[in-house]
Amino acid sequence: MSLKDLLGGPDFRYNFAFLDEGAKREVRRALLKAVALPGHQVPFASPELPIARGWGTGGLQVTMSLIGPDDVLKIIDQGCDGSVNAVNLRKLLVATTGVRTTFDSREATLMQSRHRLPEIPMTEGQIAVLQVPLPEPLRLVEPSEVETRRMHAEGDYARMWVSLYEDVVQNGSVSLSWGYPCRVNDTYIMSPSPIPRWDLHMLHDSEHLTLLGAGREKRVYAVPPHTSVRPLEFDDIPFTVENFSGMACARCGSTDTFLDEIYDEKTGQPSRVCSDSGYCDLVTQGMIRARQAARA
Amino acid sequence: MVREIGFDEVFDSQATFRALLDSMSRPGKICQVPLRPYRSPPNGFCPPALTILKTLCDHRVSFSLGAANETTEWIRYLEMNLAAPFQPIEKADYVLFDGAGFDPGFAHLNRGSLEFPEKSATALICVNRLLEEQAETDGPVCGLVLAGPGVKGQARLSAEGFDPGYITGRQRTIRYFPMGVDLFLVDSNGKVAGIPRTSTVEIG
Amino acid sequence: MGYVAVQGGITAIENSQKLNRYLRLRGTSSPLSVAQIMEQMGPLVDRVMSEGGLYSPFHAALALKQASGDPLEASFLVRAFRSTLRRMTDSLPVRTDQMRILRRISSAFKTIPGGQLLGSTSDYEQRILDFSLAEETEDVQEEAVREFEESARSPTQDAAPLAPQDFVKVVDILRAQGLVAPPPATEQRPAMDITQESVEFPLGRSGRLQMLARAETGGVLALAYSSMRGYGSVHPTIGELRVGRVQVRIPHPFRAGETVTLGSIVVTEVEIVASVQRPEGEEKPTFSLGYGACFGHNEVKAISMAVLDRAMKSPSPHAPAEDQEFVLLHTDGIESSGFCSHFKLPHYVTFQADLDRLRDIRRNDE
Repeated sequence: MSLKDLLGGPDFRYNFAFLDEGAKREVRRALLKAVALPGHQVPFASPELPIARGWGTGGLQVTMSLIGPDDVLKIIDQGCDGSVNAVNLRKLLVATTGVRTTFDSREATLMQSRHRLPEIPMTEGQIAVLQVPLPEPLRLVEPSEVETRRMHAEGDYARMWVSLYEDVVQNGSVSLSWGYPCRVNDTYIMSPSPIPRWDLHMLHDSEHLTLLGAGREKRVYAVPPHTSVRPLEFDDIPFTVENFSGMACARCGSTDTFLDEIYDEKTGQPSRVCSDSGYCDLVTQGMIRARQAARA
Repeated sequence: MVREIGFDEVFDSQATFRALLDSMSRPGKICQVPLRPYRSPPNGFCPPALTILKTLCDHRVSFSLGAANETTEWIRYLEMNLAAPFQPIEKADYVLFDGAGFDPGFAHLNRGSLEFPEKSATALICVNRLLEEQAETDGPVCGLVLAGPGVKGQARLSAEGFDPGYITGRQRTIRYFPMGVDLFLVDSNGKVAGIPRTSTVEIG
Repeated sequence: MGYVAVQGGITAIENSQKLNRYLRLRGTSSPLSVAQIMEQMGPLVDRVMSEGGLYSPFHAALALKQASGDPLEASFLVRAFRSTLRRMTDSLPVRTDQMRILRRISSAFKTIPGGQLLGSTSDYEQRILDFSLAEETEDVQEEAVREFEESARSPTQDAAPLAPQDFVKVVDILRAQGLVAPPPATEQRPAMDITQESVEFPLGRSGRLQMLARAETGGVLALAYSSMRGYGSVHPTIGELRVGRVQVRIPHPFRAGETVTLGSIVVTEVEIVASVQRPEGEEKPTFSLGYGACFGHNEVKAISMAVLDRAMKSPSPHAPAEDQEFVLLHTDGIESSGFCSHFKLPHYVTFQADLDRLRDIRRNDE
């Protein structure tokens, strides 16, 4: 370590996976406790990265603390590998690790995602890392961190239930769309990150480990495999997912995937395509059969 | 007594961490930490325990030792190699125990608080051997049956040279969830198993 | 979709970077030198050092050049650079009472021990645009410098007294008379480091002041203003405002008891005296104190910091400026601008989920 290293300059070398080892250790310690406390938000220092706050620094710090030279990395945003921000994050990680990347979710050992889980269920050898903007599900009813911390500590979730009840009274059903609050391991209420209702079941009793990182809010949390994750619902008003009945993906024909509503750039015509671009590619290229598809 | 140089701070800690994460996420699954040739561990010291402690410790956390090994030699060896301070057992973040005999100090481990359950100790217990199923061995074997988060149904694991007193002792520390203590068992071959406070563990 | 979309994404990012550079360089003026920014945009450089949390005029100036003058973007560059640097050690507490003064004023007393020094300030300048600056040549520059240096009684680089002076702080005068309470025992904890430890509320004073020290100037100003204007009134009297150079010293790495001086930095420090309070366990009421200090010369920030420091000590917080979480979680420029900007990221899956809900609810109504 020379003074020149300290001051930066053209020969400045970044550490493997960018984060310094001290920062990685801190994240690692936090993740081990997070896994022992499913759904509980564990604070960490979360120093700055060259990526802006709110743009995935939490997920990134988790990935940087996990990743090794033999990992295969997939990064998606809204389900798509090609999304500009996913491309940018991938660029940073590949530049600082040299790992192999993939668009095929079955090949990935680490999958960092913003707002979606892949359509093909993840397996034991895979870790999902979800980017989280607002880790505190109780923020819906309480702005103060000191107070929400107390509510979690005492399992005092009454105000959440009241809020959902009022929502039903006003709207006929719970109007919460993405990031639906869940009860994990029958203990903590957790935000699953802004994934759609569609994806929630993928966290419940999963084969894979899910880690969630909120960089700006400086929290990590975890859902181990084979752990119960249940959306908050009333006995007589069951939880429902997004309604895509009668719709199919215009590219691959799938009728059982989360579909994006798109408007053609030239004609303005609406159509639907799979949000999971990797899955859609595999079906379209004939590499797998669609689980459920419309007749051609 | 030297500062060990056989440990690669970047890649060995990454591989070790993945093993620790996998084992804590899947209680009952035995994982492997990289084996490193350390030059001068104290007599009876389990080298993979140093690999695990070096992965997790630095000046921001503290370590301690069970009474059996709380000697100046062991303390100095770890202080030198971890750059982490030694603290009494009730304050330390990472505590190393000899699995052969239950250490009453275990009862004093920091269990965290309701609001900060993560600020609890992690116990690293060194055993002779870890085996996934009940297997044929020479010495006395403690069989554990685990269930809970991370386990599909039930998982079984056996530890040779592990006093079941640790399991009964653990019951008391996890009585008031979310407070509690989390465990790693490690053997001299670098096999590691994790037992988070959420696991139910029966001896059998 | 996969391969083409990825290529498209990378190309778009690269083209955007090229466009940024082109827009910065395509004019008729010559490229700005980092030295020009350092020397002629001092307050802006100071602001970026302060919000970036790194004292290095060179890096702050470089960041400003790269960001084409955007202070939020420049502070972000500095902050991100700072987190790549290896932490060697902590310095000894800086002695502001041994400051080499560049400017020192007090609103509390007409004269103070050591005297008041107006120094470099625009406070009393008339805000009239000076059009002669549009034609400032190097000749004009040389003449102005020569003229000032000749006329000053003891010309120095900083136009300030050469040696640090020991002088009594105004606050210490009040303290000696028992008019200002000592800090409460609960605040006498060891200093924490917010960049290395997680921040928890309620946050100790060390953490609060650190967060304020690198907070965004406009953010702390707005909240302090709310307090001054009536949302939980803190009507401060500036006991002392000082700007100057202080030494940065570290313990000698291997000679116990000795110190090493690394150099000096410019800081702005403000102590405000505010309303009367009756501290717990004390019989006699005293003034309450507020403290602010930041890198470089930034008076608005230091005063705002001091006002908020005092506001956050309110025994029964009501107003937003008195709420620790509200003040500290919303005034970091890097975090707030990052989150604000993140709304530009694709949100079409979450929006699809919202659309689905709204359509469903509308169906319920029918």
